[in-house]
Amino acid sequence: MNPLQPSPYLLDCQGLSVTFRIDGRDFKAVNNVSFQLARGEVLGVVGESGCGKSMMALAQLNLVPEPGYVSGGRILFQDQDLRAKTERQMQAIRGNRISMIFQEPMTSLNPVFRIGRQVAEVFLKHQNISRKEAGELTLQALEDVGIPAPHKCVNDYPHQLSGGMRQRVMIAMAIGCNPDILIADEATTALDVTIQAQILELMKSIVNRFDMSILFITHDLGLVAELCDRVVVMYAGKIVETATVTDLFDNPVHPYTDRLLKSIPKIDSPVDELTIIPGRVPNLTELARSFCPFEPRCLISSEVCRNVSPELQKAEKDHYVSCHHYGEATS
Amino acid sequence: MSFSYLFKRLIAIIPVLVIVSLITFSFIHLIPGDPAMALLGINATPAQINALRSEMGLDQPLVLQYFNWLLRTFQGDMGVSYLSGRSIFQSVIERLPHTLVLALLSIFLSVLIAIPSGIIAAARQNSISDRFVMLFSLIGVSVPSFWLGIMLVILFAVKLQWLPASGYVSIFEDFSQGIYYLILPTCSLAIVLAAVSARMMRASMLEILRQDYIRTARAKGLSRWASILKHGFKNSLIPVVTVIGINFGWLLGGTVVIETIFGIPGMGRLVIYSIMNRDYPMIQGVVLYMAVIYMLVNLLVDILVTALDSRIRY
Amino acid sequence: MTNLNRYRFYRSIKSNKLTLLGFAIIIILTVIALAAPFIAPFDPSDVHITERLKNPDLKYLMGTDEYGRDIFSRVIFGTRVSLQVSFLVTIISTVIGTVIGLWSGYFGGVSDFIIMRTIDGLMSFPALLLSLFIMAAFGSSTTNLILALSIVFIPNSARLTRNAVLTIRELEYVESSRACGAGTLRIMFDHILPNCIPPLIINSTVVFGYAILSEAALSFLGFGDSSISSWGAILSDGRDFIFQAPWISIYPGIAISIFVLGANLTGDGLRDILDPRMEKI
Repeated sequence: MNPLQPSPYLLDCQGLSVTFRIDGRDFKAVNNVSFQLARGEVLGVVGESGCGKSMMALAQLNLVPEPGYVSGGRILFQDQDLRAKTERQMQAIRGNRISMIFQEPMTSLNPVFRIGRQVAEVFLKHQNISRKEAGELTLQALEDVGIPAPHKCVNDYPHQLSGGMRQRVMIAMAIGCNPDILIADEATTALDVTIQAQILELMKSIVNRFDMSILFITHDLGLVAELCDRVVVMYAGKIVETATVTDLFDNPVHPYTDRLLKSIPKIDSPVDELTIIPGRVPNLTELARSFCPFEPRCLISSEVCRNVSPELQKAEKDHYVSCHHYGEATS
Repeated sequence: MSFSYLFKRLIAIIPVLVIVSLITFSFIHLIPGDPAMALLGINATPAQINALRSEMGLDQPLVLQYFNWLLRTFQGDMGVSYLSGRSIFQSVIERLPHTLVLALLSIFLSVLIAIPSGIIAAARQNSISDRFVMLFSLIGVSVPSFWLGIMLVILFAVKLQWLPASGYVSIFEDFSQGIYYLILPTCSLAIVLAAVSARMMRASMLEILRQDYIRTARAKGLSRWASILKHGFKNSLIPVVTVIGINFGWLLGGTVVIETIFGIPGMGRLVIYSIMNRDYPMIQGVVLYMAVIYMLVNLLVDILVTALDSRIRY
Repeated sequence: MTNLNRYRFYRSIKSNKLTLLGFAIIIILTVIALAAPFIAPFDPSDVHITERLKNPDLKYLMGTDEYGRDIFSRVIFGTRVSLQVSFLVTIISTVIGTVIGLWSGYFGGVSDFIIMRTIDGLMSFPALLLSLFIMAAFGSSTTNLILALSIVFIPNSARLTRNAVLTIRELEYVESSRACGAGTLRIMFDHILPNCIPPLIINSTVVFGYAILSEAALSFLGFGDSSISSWGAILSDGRDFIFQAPWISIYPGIAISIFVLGANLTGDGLRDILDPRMEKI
């Protein structure tokens, strides 16, 4: 990469690995993952539970919990490597330039503090303003995320709000300082379908209004289709395919993606049997056996898949895949 | 917090208060033999015994005796000591402050030790500091507080001669002198109480550290310590406050022995003295007061916990 | 190694080691108590007037008291008192408490209300005060001491058992009432008691420890049988000679602490083993 020319990407993650050391042995939850995020873009990260997407997200902010640690790669944010930053520098970035929201809004909010105080905290931490000013910004932020009657809400405790409202509060806290990137880790999973739709709308409007990029992590392909511009598919800690949303849905080239898409029953076509992917996601300890992590469950795998690790290669324009037999599954 | 909650709690105490009063009242009647005879001794004449019996109201039916006693107690009249003839209420009022000062000072000191220790131990789990706190805590709960008091006296009064072995000056008369005499007794109680509380604090903190809202605080840009102290602290206090409330009973019992060792003129010493001298009315009175105080403390703890945690609103 | 792995590694070894240590302490002290006449070099009440208040030396390992009695022997025989009192108190209070708790939880209603208020009432008295109170009424002897302390500790097991009954009643009640109409009581006891046993065992270790400390405190204050050399009594004797013979006050306290430590370690270890709900991180 030419150091004189700024990267066109807001976030450029190169070869990221996250390792867990358990009982003296190393397990890679995230294995040499690379992706890019442009300004104003919504990048979806899809995968089943345990594929490492949450760890990858936490790694961006260096919040991987013990016994895990980031073991390799570079995370370039506005051309600066986040891994090279000190903890204090990272604190200035978290909640300020890059924010993160999580799955469970109930437990993610402190039950003994009022909403107002928790939201205002993010302003007080990153901006040199008075309590009063922070209070005003809080009201504004709550309004921005569509909370009715913010004046009442600031005095409430988390348990007094509904799930959807709590997640809106979380979003308000996250976007309050107008960060460049919002990382949403399964942010809608714990909500009802109707509330999910509302939150998704909210996110779309945030992208438009604030020119914010979103790293949207989910296991729900339907949400990806709704919200995302591009998408990355992860399996067992590795990226198996990355493409624009339209390309991915129209032309999935990785056998896993293909079967994933096929397993969603369509409401308008008759279906006799649900397509499933035989087998199950390997847990971290079983990964040693094959080089392609999907090989044990893959219907088109061959000898080479067991012996050579597939690297990310270009299948088409802006469509990358890591598979030795890409394209053969879709028939 | 609503008055209705407070009211409900007070109402709930009443049956317990009744039981406590019954237990205390029945004391004189549990003594084998006739109470009047016990007070006057073997050589008393039947006439003397009968006179005392009617004076004490012992010839009336038990239920009537109970209610009379209860009524008088409410009015503050607990009768007189059969030794000194002074009002029991008077004696209690005189001595109560000294015991309370000792108890409160011990709680204060123990909290000062326990809370930081517990927090540090939890935040630095399995480090040297954590092991040290756990060790201190384990030893602290195993050691008898009165023996600890004696050991402290041997070290600081006998060997080093920095502090007095016994004696007492009320802090209300001379603050610095009073504190000087209170240091060793307070430490004896505080160290053991701190051991119990530190354990609780650590366990509570460990639980808190695993909560999602700590992760949210980090994601907002707070440092690890800021997250722990700002977000975890209030939550972790609740079990600790509860534990201190429960151990207040232990503390009151502890003051009995400590006051005896150090010669502090409090309720504890009064109890011992009364028992040694068979001053039964006094024993009744003092024990009743101490039980009521303990109950009030527990009520206070409940209220405090509700104030700390807005989720508990009965 | 990260903190967590250090933790896991140490914990698996350590928790077992410490529990074993605690258990070993209790076993060793029990053996000492039982074999006291053979271990102690002197009879604890043997007076050696010419050798009063001697420093600890090879003959009198822990020195002598104001009557010339060997402290070491007195401490060894003191083990008997502590052991006897604590065991009996633990067993009596647990058995009675369990019965009360079972009755109260199962039958409910007015009797439950009265019993629970009485239990609350008992718990409103600080433990030491209550035992002093009882002993002041009935007189001070070892039997009364055991009785008093048993009464003090009954509420613990009563509450525990009652809670267990209430929980199980909700769970098993529907099933068992369907399964066999008759003999529900039998099924209750077959189901409830196994669930009560782990917390009761843990509670027993706690009561055991507290019983030792309480007995020591009561003997120290002058209650309990003064003819036997309980640790508390030795400490009480030692108080007058703090300046001349501090050793009289040091050793019995160490013995008490070790014994209670044993009970606590065992209790902690058992809690780790018997309570799988507590996540091992």
